[in-house]
Amino acid sequence: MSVRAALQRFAEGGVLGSVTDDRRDAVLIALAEVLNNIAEHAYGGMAGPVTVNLRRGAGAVTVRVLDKGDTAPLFACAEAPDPAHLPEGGFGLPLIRALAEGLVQQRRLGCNVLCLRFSAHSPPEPRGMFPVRLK
Amino acid sequence: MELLVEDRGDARVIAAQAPRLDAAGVLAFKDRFREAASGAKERVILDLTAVNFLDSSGLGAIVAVRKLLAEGVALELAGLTPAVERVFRLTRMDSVFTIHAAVPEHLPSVL
Repeated sequence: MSVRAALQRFAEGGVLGSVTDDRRDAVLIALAEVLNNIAEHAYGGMAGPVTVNLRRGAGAVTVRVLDKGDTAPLFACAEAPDPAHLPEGGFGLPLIRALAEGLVQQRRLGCNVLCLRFSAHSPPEPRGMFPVRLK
Repeated sequence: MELLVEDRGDARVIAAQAPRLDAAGVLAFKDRFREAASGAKERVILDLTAVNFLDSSGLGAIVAVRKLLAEGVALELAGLTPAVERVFRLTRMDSVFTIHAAVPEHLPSVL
């Protein structure tokens, strides 16, 4: 399944159907960046297995993504590119950081595990820093 | 990504005709935009009213096509839907484009 097809399926699914458009968009934009990164970097453009788990909890939507690639993104070092230089890339990780309220990255049994947390209610933007836990 | 092209006054209005500008579609978008913008004189206005989803690749493609334009031709954007506007705002790329709520009704010709 392509990244686009996966995102369209989640967009129409029950979890994101239960939140506001604003929250749905935040999850879909962040998830698009996560999946594009896996396709491009973890699997180097080749096909590979990815598991996405979307869950609506009390007050939050949590997203867990597993892949079996060798590399995982370095969120702690991802500075947003300077708009004045007219960058054509490097937006993905800063977007994920700006959209998710919580992020936990793990390496477990040969898998990269990324958990993102989104409030089910729209927080004011822009937000400040949030803790990144690296295991 | 189909593009509709119309010259109005001194502006060339290029309207995106697909709901997504994402990693899977950026190569086709860049190719078609290059054709659509060729010969534009003063301003090119990219109408994104139909686009309801833009990812970082799509954003990068819009920056890239801006650089394809001839010297002195400006790329302006119009009709950003909420999810698209959000990607521009969170990356602060809204600061380097002139952005219209919709394609201006009146596009004057200097001549």
